[in-house]
Amino acid sequence: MRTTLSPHQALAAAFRQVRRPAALVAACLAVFSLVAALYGMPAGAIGYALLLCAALLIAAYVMTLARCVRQHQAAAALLRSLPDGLETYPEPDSPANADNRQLLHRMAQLYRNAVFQANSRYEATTAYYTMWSHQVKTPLAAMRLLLAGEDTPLARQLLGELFKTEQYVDMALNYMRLDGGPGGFSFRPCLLRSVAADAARPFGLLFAQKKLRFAIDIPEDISIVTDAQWLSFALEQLLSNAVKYTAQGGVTISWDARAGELCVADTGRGIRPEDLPRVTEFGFTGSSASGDSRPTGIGLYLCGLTLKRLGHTLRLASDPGRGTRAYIRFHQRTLAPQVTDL
Amino acid sequence: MFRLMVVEDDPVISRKVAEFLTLWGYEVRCVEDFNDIMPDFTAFDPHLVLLDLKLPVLGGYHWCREIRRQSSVPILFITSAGDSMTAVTAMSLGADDLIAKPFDLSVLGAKIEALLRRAYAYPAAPATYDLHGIAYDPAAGELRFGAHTAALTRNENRILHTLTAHRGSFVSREKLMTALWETDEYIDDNTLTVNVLRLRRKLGQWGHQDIILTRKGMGYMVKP
Repeated sequence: MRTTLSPHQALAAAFRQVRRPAALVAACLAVFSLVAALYGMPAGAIGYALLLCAALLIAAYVMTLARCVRQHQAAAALLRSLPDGLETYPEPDSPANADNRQLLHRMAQLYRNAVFQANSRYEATTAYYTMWSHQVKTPLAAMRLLLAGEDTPLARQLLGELFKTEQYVDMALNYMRLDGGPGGFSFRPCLLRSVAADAARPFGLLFAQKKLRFAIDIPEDISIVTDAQWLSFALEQLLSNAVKYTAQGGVTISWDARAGELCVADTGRGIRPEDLPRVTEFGFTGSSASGDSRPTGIGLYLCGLTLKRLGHTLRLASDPGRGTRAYIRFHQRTLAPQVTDL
Repeated sequence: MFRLMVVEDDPVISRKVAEFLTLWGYEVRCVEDFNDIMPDFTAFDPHLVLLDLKLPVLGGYHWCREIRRQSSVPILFITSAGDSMTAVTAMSLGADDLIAKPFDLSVLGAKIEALLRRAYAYPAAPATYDLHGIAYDPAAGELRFGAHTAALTRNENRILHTLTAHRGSFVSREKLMTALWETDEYIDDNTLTVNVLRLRRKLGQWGHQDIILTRKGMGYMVKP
């Protein structure tokens, strides 16, 4: 699309637009003057008539230029405010402009209808998937209760798979909540250690099955302002990845007091340097995807998005073959209490 | 004996919760007619109500309001939405706590116990178990034999408590480790072995070598 013209360029374009009629009028005047001179009319009379005509023409010329520039400015303003503001567009002054205006209005109407339809379809889809996620939680809860009484290898394997299913449902639900725009967060000071413990709690069986170590190394008194549920969700994504890609060794969540960062470190296979900048992209599955530990490309995306919405930042570092470290920075400042004299 | 009313329309969840709570020594009644739960409520006069948020005829919010009209009995909501908005709505209608599906029965049990204790101010029963002459007190984390006592570490106490709760059947290593995780004790395979070894030694110092039995692939068991 053409970008908006500057006022100077607009004036030049207006000049070009009135050039041809102006030349035509000039040619007509020249013909009249020539014929009048040939019939022996006094030069003074011709000159006087030409002067009057010129004054009239220049006035008309300036008015036309001004109208062209005004029209252009209105169009430029409309271009900036689209799809709204069509009603501010100037009244048509020619049949061609009237046609254009009608076309514009029709296009705007079609556009609004299309957007409305897409929105309502999207809302219906989201509402359905949200409802589905809640619906499926009841049978999942029932399965968990049925398996709770069994302590057999099969029951433990099923519990492991059930846990993954529950996580996928939570991810889908939170994906739709995050997509719903801002809001829905509840910020208050939280003890970081207990948020980390909440996130880690459901992973017990997975760690036990893979015989991995786990530790939380966060001082009891570290408090940050966040939404504990959402931060816990982001940590769960990091833990889920850590335990998925770590065959031996373990996972540690620690607090770096000097940098003011939380670190989730594993001793897993790591991330290739060329993949590292892209792992938080939606659907990115990397170049080394294979086997049953294939990434879904959703977990880290949701983790990054959640942390961004919370006002925290995620940074990843990895030594391929030796492990990955995910750092979360909270960007917190302590504001001095404001004292107001009454 | 505390009476608990379960208002949950999923028959499997309702049955499993009732079984578990009965095992814990509560008298449980599950609502079957969801058109009007109030007659059941009045007849049973429960000490606590477990209320599902989504019910077939009128939702949990409605029944929460209805119950609150005539009683201040503790209400524990069961919901598939564990977000803060649901929690705020539930609490503002007079619910006392909320548990999100899917949940673990042990967590449910702990929540119910805490609510009952708060509402009816009863002291925690000082349960001690008799392990072949050795008294085991999980609340104090101690073993007592005559005039002797031996203190248990947190992990040892949790392991022995889990084993005692399943006395007579084998508890797998994974299940023990998961139970420890739920109390934020992150122990690995080796630590579990070491802890069980130390536990055996503490139990064995008074001449009982075989209170904890081991079977390969099955886990551990406290001798019945």
